[in-house]
Amino acid sequence: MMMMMFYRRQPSRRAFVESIIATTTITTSITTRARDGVAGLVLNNNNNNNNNDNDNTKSSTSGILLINRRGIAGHSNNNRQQQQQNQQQNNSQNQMETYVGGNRARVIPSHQLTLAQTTNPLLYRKLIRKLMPGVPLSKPGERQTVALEDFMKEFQVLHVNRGAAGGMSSSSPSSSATARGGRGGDERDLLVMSKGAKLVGARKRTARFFSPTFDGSSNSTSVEGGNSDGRGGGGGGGGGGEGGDRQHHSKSMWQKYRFYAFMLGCALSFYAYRESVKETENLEKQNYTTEKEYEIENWSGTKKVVVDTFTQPETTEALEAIVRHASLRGKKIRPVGAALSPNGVAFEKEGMVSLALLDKVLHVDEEKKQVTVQPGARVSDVTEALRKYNLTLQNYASIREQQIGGFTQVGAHGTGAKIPPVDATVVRMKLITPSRGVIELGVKEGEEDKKVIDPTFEAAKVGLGSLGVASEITLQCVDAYQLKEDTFTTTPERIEKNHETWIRSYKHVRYMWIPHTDCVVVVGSNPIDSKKKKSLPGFGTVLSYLTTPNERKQNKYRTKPMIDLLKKLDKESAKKAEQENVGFGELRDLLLRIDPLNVDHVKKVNAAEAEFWKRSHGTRVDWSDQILGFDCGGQQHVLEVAFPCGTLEEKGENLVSSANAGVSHPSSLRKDLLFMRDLRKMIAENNIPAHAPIEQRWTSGSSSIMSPSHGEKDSLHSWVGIIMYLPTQVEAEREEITARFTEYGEQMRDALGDEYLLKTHWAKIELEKNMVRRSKQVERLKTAYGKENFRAFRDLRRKFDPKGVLMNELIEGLFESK
Amino acid sequence: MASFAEAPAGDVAKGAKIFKTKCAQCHVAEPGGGHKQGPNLGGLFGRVSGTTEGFSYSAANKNKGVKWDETTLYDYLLNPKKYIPGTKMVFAGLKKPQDRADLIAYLKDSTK
Repeated sequence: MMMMMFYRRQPSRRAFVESIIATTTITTSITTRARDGVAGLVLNNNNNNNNNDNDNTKSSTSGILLINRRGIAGHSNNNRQQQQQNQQQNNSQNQMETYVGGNRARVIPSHQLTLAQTTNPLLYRKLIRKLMPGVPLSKPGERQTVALEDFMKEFQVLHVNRGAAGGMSSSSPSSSATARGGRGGDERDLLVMSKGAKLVGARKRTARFFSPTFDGSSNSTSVEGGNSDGRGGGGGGGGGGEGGDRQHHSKSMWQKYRFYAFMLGCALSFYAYRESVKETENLEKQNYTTEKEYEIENWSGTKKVVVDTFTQPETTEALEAIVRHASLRGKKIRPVGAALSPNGVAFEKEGMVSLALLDKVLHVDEEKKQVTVQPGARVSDVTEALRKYNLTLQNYASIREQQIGGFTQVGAHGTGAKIPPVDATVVRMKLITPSRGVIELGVKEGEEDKKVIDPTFEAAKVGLGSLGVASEITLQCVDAYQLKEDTFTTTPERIEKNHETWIRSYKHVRYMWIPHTDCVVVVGSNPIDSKKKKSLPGFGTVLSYLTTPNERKQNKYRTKPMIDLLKKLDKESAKKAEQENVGFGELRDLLLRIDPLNVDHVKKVNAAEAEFWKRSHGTRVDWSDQILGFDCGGQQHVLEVAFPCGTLEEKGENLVSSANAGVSHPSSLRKDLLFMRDLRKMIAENNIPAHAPIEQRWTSGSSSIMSPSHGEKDSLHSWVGIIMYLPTQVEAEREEITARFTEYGEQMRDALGDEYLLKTHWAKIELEKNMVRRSKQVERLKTAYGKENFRAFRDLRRKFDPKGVLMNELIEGLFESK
Repeated sequence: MASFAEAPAGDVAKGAKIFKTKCAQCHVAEPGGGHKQGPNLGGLFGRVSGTTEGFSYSAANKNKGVKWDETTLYDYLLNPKKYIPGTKMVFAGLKKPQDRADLIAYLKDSTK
């Protein structure tokens, strides 16, 4: 009984025990698993009268007993009855062992088979295909039903069990077959008995069947048979290896060792049971804090949630205990990092677990140039830790306040045609999964040369915090380098002419298109000899904060066009801004604030911003982490999409030559620039009050299947971000801007989404509220990521988090909507 | 516990954890650590709101002109948006007196 209790509380361990039984029994057993009850039954039929027309004539033949019945109480009652019968008839040559929840074995005669429970449509289909080839199969996902008559033809019905759920079952042998044929009744009793691996060879003679309904409900079941689909022993609390090869043990091996296997199963489950009892007590002892009704807001102030339970573990052990506990209780614990994501991807009202206090840089491997960190370590802290070793991350996004966990899980990126997004620099990671405990993914230490593609790793790198909570991440770094950055303005025409050159000649390059103007800011940088001192003068890109007198002087000159415009529109604040010599970002906010959604006004502001940039040409030199950061301005809505645009090799040559020849027609343009043409056209035609800039960046492909730039290593992907600022704290005005921005995004996706296979950045994707639009959104997602990858990710999510404790509305809406 | 005078004693170590979780994405506490999305907090105590050099404050923050000390921070941190309507700071505040006391203790220690 203890075991049964354990099973109900510990589905993952249960699966593990089952898988041990299952994988050792191979040809002879089916183990089943269901939410409310478990039974794996193995029949060893030594009856010499059997028609042993299969290969296993000499050894004792075996059978499969598969029983399905709702109601666990009735189920255990049956067991009791079996036990009684066993005692009476234990001389029988027909021996059957039943594993009920893996906790007991007993011997009963074969004609007195009783019931347990399963609910797996796949298993039924498989059995039906084997046993009753004439019966048409239902479509996958639909309930499989078989008429009682059909079964009668094939099998001798020995026994009917009419027990209602929770009640006693009659198990008198040879009662009449009056099982209900209706769907959804309480009785779903099925007994199929066969011998040997070749099920077909044994039917009629030994098979006993009962009940016509095959229930297709959704609880999972593992089947291990000759044609098993290889679920294997990959379960397990903690191990997580895919043990499919264990299936191929021979039958005699099983018979020889089944007792030990069974005992092992018992021992493990007993151990696991004790663990589960300790779980709650264990959690109490851990180092963590919990807050109720905790209010959290994202960085740009666009998303807010009051979390019922906000948990902050201080140790990895505490985090593991929290995940285990939540998994047992089915309580939500969506992992959250720095809460920077514009779409609040980490937010879940019911419960969140913060990783902020797990922020250690654990280890730097100088030789391999790798750093191992806890998930809460901030990019800036990791960068500082790496500086000592003269190492740095391969790329940086605009800011450095992200925590590595979130940074990689949402597939963040910087820019550089030959540099992958950050998830692709993850070498290995530990993932705490709700159903399988801690799993280690990625390249094992010392096995760097082996090139094994692990689908789980490829899914977990950009896992959106929904496969498990990353507890340790190892990143591939590079030698620290200094960059010389050029900032200059140009026109769309010159971009089209020089793009193929710039994208190759700059290690990192981004374009900032100023909407409604023909100004494009190019910010490109290349490594220089690090020994040289940073001595080059110049303005460079936006100076976030003005600290030196020279910077203040520069600022006055650069911002003059914007001050001039402000003077025309709002004398008072212009005077103040001039006095205080405010920075570019704040000036833009001051200007936009006047009428943020008026397209004519926005045009004027953008024009002033273009003038600002024209006064900002220059060069600066600094370490890569300093150069690649970028002041993103004030509170804002952003939407960023990624799309493939060929490879550097493939499109390069003919483009360069056509550019040299002064020809610039669409067919010779790379997709990234065609997209910008279309987007700018769309903005102009629809009079969209598009704020500046539209930022265009590039990365190479990532192997992570959920990366928006998933693709071959040498593939090129462009990322384009549109923006609208929220220059006001007045709620109604903010809402208006939010609504307009949503529309802007919709317009972009509707006009260009399908043509360019746009994939929205995971930290920027918003779940469509309109259900029609949402189903379209999901369809687009499937198409853009590929149905196979989409499904693979979804299946892994279900496997690692069957109760959905890590999910929020966004993840559920995108991956689990009907 | 409505004012700092009645607040419990603050714990610097606990305050550091609160800072790490709730403030560090936008602020550096140590003097000279530079600005992030929020201003550097070096020399916070005794300073008037909206006056850190080189940071673009909201008008609201500048106009408030409050001098930061334990008492004002204790009130401010309860609900910053109520204390300075129109502030750019994205932070809901700390409802528990103990949390505020801890954070203030940490800030006092680290912003010197």
